[in-house]
Amino acid sequence: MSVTSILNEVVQNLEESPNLIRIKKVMFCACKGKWENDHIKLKNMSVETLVKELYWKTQKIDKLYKVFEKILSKINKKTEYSLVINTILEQVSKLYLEVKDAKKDDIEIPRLMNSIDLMQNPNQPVGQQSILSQDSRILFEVRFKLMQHSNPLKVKILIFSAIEREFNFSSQDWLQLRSISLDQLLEQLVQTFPTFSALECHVKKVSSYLDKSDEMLQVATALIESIKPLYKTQPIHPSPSQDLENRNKIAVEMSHSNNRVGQEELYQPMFTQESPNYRAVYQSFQQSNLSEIETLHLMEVDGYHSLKPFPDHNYQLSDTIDSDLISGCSGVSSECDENSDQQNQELPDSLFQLEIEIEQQIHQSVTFAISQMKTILKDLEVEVESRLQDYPEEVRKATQYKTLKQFMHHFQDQIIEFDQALSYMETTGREFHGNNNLDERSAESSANYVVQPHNQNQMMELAKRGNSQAITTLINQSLNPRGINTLTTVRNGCLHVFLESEPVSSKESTAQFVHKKLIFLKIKSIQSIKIYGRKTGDKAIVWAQEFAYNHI
Amino acid sequence: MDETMLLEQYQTGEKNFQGINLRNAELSYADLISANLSRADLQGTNLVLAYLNEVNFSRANLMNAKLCGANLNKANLNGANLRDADLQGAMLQGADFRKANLALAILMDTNLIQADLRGVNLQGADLRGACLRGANLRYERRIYESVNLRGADLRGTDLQGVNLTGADLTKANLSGANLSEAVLRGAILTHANLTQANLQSAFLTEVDLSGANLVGANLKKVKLERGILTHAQLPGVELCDAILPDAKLSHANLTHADLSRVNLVRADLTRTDLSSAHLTQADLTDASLARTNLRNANLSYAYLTRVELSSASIIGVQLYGAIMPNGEIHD
Repeated sequence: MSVTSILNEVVQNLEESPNLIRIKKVMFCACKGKWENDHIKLKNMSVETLVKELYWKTQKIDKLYKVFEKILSKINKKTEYSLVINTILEQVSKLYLEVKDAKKDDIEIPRLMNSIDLMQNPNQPVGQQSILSQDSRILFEVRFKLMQHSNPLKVKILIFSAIEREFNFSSQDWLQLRSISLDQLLEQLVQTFPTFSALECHVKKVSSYLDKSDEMLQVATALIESIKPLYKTQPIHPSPSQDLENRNKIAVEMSHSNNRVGQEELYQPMFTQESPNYRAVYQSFQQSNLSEIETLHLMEVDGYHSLKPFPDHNYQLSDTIDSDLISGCSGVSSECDENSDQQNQELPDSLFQLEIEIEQQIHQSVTFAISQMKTILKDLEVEVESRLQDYPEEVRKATQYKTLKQFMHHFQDQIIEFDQALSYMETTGREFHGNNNLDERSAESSANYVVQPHNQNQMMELAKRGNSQAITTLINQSLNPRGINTLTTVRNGCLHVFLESEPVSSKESTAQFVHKKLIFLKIKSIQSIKIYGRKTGDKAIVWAQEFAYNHI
Repeated sequence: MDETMLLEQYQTGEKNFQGINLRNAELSYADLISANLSRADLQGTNLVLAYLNEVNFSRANLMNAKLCGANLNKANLNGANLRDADLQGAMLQGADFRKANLALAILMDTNLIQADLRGVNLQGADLRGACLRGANLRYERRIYESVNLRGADLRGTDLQGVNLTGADLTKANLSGANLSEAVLRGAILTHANLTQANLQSAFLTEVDLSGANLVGANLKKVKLERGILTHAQLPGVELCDAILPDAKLSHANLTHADLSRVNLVRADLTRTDLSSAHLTQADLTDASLARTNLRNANLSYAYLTRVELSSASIIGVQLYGAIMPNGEIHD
């Protein structure tokens, strides 16, 4: 069979798949290193070009496999996407030389782990093919420790949410949770995350997103602490040097502290001195053309877990990161192509390393900004103090606090604006220009955009209080990628949700989805939900569905 | 009294709610720490993820209650009826379950560390993945009946070092369970499933394992004096350094099993299948080997003093250095 005919066959098979859009998304991400959510763009992409590009970028089957593994570790809806990726692998791997050879020797083509397989066959002896089977005693020890430090059910809910989907306390989820034991969940968790740091990062993020996040964070901490021995027994992911490992650890530690306000002290001691490799990192950061950086944005793909890597604390945006850097971050696919040959040779490894370096860079900047902030706050305090010397103690203190609070408020507003501007640019896909500074753009964009609380937690809080705009945004986060636009209003304790799409979305699945999503929010002021489906731009309602809303 | 009243009164400091009737109440996430709910009727009540630390539920009716993820650490459940209750992932550390009825209850992935489970009825209960380290399930004559675990699902349960003296585990599923150093003296494990279970250094004196399936189990260094293993399935198991004097192994399947350095003094091995088994340095003094299948078994350096080997099939047996029935050393 000639090469072209195999290619045609592969392309045809992929095009016939019902998951074509997702296939394109994943392949585009593998080629360009960024996630594309624009359906029109995706529709216009040719599968053949993508397959060809993917082949030339990877050239070897294990590289292809690594790239997909990397993507899978970053995105949400892992089960769905692991299916998609397996479809791609099944097809595209036909093009690779090794596979052709391997077929003769009956070597198995690598397959990505699919959690559904395990979920659906709980009776299958999981221990036998698992990495832990060598010493089941370790698993018992892990469980013993874990159970003493946290609620086993909450641990199960957390792992379930981390590897499957958000646990929403529906009877179906309860049934599924009962069908799978903590052991199996732990094994799947370890299999899903090849490195301890990746696991730590993901679990913490999921816990902060779940309901009662402080409790869940405690559970996550216990889980991470207890699961460590499972990682010591297996070979740790190949790392170029011990140094990288350390930095990796620091970066991960810091990314957690960054997720929580008021923990600046935590990472400050680490960077009181400029670390020696900081320069080098910074330079390599500037030199490389950074198609990889885009993968950082993978965190914000279409799933409802859309977790921002750094939700607030964008202090560094204005002054510390200079414009070269920003321009480096932008869509540079054209430049990328020129350098691609060399770069893609070590794509997966350097990608990982670079991520760590970038994270470190960001934290350097945050630390700097925070120290600046502290000085400013202190100055302000002293200033107020000196001006109010003659006033009584209470007045002085009250004014002082008021002033500082005011400063913080203004500062926060400014940050929200930056964030807005950034996400505006991201969503509209506009190119950055090195000479433009962010302030101008923020002014420009905030004119077009109503300033909204962008932070996910803040948004969840607002939504819980029944703010319809926040609810709309949250639903849109998950439905927009499917081409559905949402409008919501609250009237007399009833939440009306309008779903506009072209063609009209299916009643059962979409209504159920929205209902589930809303149940998870536990909006206090709402007794019932009505969900309507209609065509985009058409007033007439095609279907309607009503749910009683009683949060458990 | 309804659930809101209960919670209101609890808020005001009232802790005594003895004998209240709250059937099918909705109390998920409720905080009732150290309340006294003894003899309360809580049948079918929803207590999911509730805080019930040190609550007194003695003789309470909790049939069908939902207690998933509830915190019941150090709670008193003495004589409580928890039949069919759902306790998945609950924290029951140090809880007192003496003489409680837990038949058909779901105790999957629960923390039962140091729980007192003497005289408990766990027939048909689901204990998958539960941790029972330090729990007490001991039989005490005239005080506590033996624990009833007939047909219970104990897959992957952690029972390390647990005292299960006299427990009834007939037809229980213990596959993949951790029973290392557990005390199963006089326990009944007839037709139990112990595949892949870890029984290393367990105390199995006088245990009844007749007809049990032990494929892939780890039985290193177990103490099985006077144990009954008739018709047990033990192909390929590791029994090295085990102590089995006076054990009854007739009709047991021990093909390819590792029995090196095993003590089988006076053991009953009639009609036992020991083909291709490793019996190096095993002590078979006074053992009964009538019609025992020893084809291709390795008996080098074994002690065969006073053993009657005439009816055993010994084709291909290795006897190098073994002490033969007549006291001579085989060469």
